[in-house]
Amino acid sequence: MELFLQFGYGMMEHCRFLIGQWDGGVVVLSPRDLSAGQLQRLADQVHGLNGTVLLDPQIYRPTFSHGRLIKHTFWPTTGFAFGGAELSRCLTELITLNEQLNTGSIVLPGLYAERIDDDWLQNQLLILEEAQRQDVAPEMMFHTVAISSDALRNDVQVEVLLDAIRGWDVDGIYLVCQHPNSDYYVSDPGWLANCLDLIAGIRLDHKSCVVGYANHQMLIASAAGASAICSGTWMNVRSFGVEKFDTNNDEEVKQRATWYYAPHLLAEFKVQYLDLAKKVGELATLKSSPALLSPYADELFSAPQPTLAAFTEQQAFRHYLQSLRAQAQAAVQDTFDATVDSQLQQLDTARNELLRLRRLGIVGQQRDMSDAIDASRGALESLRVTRGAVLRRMWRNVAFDVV
Amino acid sequence: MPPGPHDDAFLGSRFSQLANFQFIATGGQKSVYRARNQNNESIALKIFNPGADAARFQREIDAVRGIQNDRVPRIYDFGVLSPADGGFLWLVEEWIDGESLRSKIEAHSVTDSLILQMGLDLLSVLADAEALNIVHRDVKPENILVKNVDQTCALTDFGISRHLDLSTLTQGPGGLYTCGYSPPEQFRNMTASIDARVDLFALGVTLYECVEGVNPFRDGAASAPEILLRVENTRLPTIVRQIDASGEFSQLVEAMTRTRRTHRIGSASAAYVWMQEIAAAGPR
Repeated sequence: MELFLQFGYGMMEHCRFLIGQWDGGVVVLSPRDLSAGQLQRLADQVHGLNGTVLLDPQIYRPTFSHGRLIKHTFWPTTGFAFGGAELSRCLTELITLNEQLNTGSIVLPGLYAERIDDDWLQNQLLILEEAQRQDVAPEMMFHTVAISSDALRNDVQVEVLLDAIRGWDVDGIYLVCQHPNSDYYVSDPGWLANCLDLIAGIRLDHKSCVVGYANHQMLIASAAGASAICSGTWMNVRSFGVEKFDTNNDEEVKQRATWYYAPHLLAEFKVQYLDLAKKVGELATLKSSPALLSPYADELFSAPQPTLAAFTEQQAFRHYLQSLRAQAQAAVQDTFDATVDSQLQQLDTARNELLRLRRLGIVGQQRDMSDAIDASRGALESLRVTRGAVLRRMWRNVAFDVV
Repeated sequence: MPPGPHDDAFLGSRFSQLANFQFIATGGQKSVYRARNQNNESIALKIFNPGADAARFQREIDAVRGIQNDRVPRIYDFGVLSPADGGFLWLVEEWIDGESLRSKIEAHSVTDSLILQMGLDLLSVLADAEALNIVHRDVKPENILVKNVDQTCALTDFGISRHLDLSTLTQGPGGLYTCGYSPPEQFRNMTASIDARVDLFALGVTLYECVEGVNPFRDGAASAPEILLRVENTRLPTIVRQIDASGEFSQLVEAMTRTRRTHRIGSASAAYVWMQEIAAAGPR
C-alpha cells in the first residue's frame, strides 16, 4: 500500500521536499487550495522530481461556492444540469486541465452522496458516460465515490454501490468517506467494517482503490488491499468532511499546535507531553523506529528537554508523512491473514502502551486513538469473516497490484 | 394441473418420431417419460405446464441450448402442444442414466471423490452459463444427476426451474426459490442482483451438505420462514471435515456461500479455476 500526498493548506513545500526525498510518489492536487497557475507550477515541479500528480476535482456539490474553487474554469456554473451541456463543458475543461498537468490518470468528479440511491448512481453513470463520450480511455479513469457516514454505515447501500461499481469501466476508484460526527478518528465499527468491505470489493473487482483524506487509522485499509491512502498536513486533509469545500474557512491556521506522531503507538502528542515523558523516564517509549527513516523528529530525543528542541511545525508534518508512508508500505504482508494479524498486533501494542502511558499522565488528548482501537479491531475481524476466503485466494492480485 | 401421465396412443400421435414411451415420474407441473428416437437412442421427454408466459419460457430454453457443456443434458427439440391437448410445453432432451444427488445423499453414498468431481462438473457448467448470462436459479441436490457410467455429474432443468416444480419451490414475492439453497437476494426479489452468484451460493450449500451430511439452514427448522431467517442472519459454518489434499475446498465453499452477494467469489469462472486446482490435487 502506498501513501499519496493529499494537498492542503501549507503543503506546497512539503510536496516538493518529500517527493524529492522519495525520488517519486504521487501528489493529489487540490483546486480548493491552488489557483490554476499554482496547479501547473506544482505539477511541473513534481514531475521534475520524478513524481506524479492526480487532480481531485472536488465537485462534491456543484452548488458550493468556495472562493478559489469557483475560479477554476472547470467549475460548473449552473449547478450541473446533469447529462446536459454544462456537464459536457465541465468534463472537457477537466480533461484539458489533466492533460496540461500531465496527470497519471483522470479523476472524474463524483457528487457527494448523502445516500446511495438511484438518482446518485444515475449521476455517477452520466459522468462516466460523458467521459467515455469524450474518448477518455478506461485505463486512464478513476471515478470519485464520495459518500456520507450514514451511507457508509448502511450495509444495503454499500452492497448496492459495490454492485454498481462492477459495471463501471474504469481503472480505479477514488474513495472519500465522511467521518462520523466530523471526528478525526472513527470509533464506529460498522463504518470502519463497511469501509474495508468497500475497499476490498473494489479491489476484488480488479480496480485500484485510492482512499482520500486519510490518517494513520486507515493503515488497516492495507488488509483490504487498498492501493493507496492519501494524507497531508492538517486534520482537514486527514479526514473527509464535505463542508470545507463550501467555505473559505481555513480554520486550521487558527488552531495551530505542533504534534509529534509516535507511529508505533498510532497516536500524536503535543511536545509538552514529551517533556513529561522525559521526566518519568518514558521518552524512549515514544521514539519512532529508525526503520521508518524519519530523521525529522530526532531533535526531540536528543535535546535536554523536548520543548527546548527546535521542533517545528514543518518537521512535525514531515515526520508524520514520512513515518506514515513507511508504515503504509510495510503494512502489506505476504498473505491476507498475516496482514490482518500484523495490523491487529499493532493495534494491541498501541492500546497497551497508550494505557500504560496514560497512567503516567502522558496522553495524546484528541490525537490519541485509544477509543477507536476496538472499532478498528472489529473491522479487521469482520473483514476476515466476510471476505477472508476470497482475499486469501486473491491476495497476490489484490495487495501487490501497482497503482 | 400436472400434464399427464398420458397414454402411449396419445404420446405416439403427438410425438411420432419417438417410440417405446416409458412413464418415469410426474410431479408438480411436469411429467417425464423415457422413449427412443429414430436413431434408437434413449431420450427424455418432458411435458409441463409453463404457466402463463410460454413465450418467455421458450426464449429461455432457446438460450439454454447455447450452453455447450457435456454436464448439461442436450435439448434436442421443444415445442407446444395444441390448446386442445392442454397447451402444454414439451421438450426432448438427452437421457442420462443416473441417480439424483438427493438420493445418494440420503443413501449416504456420496464419496469424497464424487464431491470433488461434482464441484468440478457443476462449476464448469455454471462458468459456461455465466458466459451466456444464464442463471439456473435452482441448483440443489434434486437437480443434480450422478451418471451411472462414470460418476460424473449433470445439472438438469436449466432454464425451466423457475417455471416448474411448485411442489419443491416456494412461491414468494420474489418468485420461485428453494428454501435453504436460495440466497437472500433471490428470495428478497432483488431481480437486478440476480446473477451467477445466486447459483454459486446454492452450489456451495449443496457441496457443504454433501460433505457434512446436513444442510444447516434446513436442518431442524420448523418452517420456511425460519429457514429464510437462518440464511439471512447466519453464515454457513466452515466445513470441518477435510476432503481434499489441498485443504482449499472448505475455503472455496466459504467463498461461494457468504450471505451478502458482494462477499462471494465474484464469478463462476473464478470459482471453476479454483476448483480445478483443488481437484488436481485430489482427495485427501
